[in-house]
Amino acid sequence: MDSDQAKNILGEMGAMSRSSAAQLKNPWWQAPLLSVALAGLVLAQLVPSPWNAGVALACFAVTFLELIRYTRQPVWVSGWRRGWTLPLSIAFLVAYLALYAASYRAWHEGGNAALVVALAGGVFILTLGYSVLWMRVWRAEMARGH
Amino acid sequence: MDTSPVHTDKAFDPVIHPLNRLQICAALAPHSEMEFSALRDVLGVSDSVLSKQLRYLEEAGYARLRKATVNTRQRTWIRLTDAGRKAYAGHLAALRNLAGL
Repeated sequence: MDSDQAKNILGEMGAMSRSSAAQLKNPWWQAPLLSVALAGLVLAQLVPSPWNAGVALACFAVTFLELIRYTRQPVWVSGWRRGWTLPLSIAFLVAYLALYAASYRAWHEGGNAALVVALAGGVFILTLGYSVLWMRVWRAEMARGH
Repeated sequence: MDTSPVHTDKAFDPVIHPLNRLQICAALAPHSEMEFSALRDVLGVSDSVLSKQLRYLEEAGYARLRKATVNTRQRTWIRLTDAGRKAYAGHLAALRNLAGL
């Protein structure tokens, strides 16, 4: 094999990876659905007991079922894959936990329902933004051939 | 001192050196998992050709197959293992070296 053949093969492999990456198509409702489910977990605290546990379980169930559906698509990519998407996912998880902890304190220590609702809105926007940004970063990485 | 790229056969992984297996790795690399028919369509090969090449990759520990039933139909998803990703990255590095990139 010579240098020109090696370049040709590299070009072909790059084109194959880009063509394969283009197969990943998530439905438009996926990010909003997960955003509602994660925001719902925050809002569940406001629901009187024992119904709060039911709302929280329903939110977990929606997230879990969507995960199953997602991994049964023709192609799927883990949010925890290596690359620039990994620090993004870690930052999202930390931010989500921080917002959840803040909402817990706001409700259980201050009884501030308005703040919990505002934080749930923050979780919704955070999750939606993370989903959009994650996909952009992944597509950019794929375009560069990573 | 000669700093030009050195090509030796040892630089290439023999399991994924054949072009069709290298193409399979290239198609699988962007994803965590890819369904058999989607992979077949991207590669433009027959089921039997793909099955045969996947068997080589699976035996080398470079690919793993997962079966699941969707709408009463059995489907198979394929993923590159860590060893497979490492071998593919090493193979591309050897090609870049040879190409002088």
